[in-house]
Amino acid sequence: MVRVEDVASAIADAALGVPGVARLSPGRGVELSTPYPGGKVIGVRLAADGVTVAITVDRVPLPPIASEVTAAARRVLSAIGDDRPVTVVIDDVLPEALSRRVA
Amino acid sequence: MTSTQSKQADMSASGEHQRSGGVAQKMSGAGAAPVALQTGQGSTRIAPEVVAKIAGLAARDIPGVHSMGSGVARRIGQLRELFPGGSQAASQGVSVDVGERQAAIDLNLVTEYGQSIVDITEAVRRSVTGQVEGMTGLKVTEVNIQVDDIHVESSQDNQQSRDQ
Repeated sequence: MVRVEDVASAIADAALGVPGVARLSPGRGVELSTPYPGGKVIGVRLAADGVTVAITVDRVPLPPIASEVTAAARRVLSAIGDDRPVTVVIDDVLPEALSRRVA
Repeated sequence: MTSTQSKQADMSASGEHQRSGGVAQKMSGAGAAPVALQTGQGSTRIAPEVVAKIAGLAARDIPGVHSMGSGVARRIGQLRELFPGGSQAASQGVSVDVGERQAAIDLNLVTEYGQSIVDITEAVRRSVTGQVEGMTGLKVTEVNIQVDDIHVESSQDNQQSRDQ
């Protein structure tokens, strides 16, 4: 059986590997995280009805980043035979994203 | 030591596959079979206090759990901490019902403000089940959690609180 913290950190790593993802985000309001004994994975929430990944991006346009993060998380989940839906929340955009576009 | 009739009844229904040794973390759904607590050479009994301590420590391991115990127990625990060498009992906020092969666990806890109680309690349940089943070989039938209070960080608390 797979441990929750391993799944959550694998998804976190996969999301961080997508170009355009600056960091994972704890979300607005209630912290979006996966607690486990001794720590928590921030920005990934594994619930029974779906997986949520919250990110801060450093470039635009947003849709390709979102779909790539979804795909990356899906790859991790399907590797362990998990078919929960993935929701990606773009929580923040760094100022660089907008200046980069101008440049 | 209490053991309820219902627990005795479904003991025979529990799984038979052998667990690999060690205290490896287990998922709650992994269905640990009761291991060699009852053997041909004698039986092993585990006191409720043992299960309560393991459960208490496993629950405190989860970030977002601020402290444990109902209001009165927490006050007494804070008083105990004032004495040299005093510390809160690991089993504070835990009550258990241990049968020959199974245990049911009730927890009272205080969570941190701003964190999802659903996420915290799920993680607590998973951690407690895994640790108790791994260390004792008892099958955990249920972990009932009562969230008694929610802790809001304030400057006064910063001085008093020793948790996390």
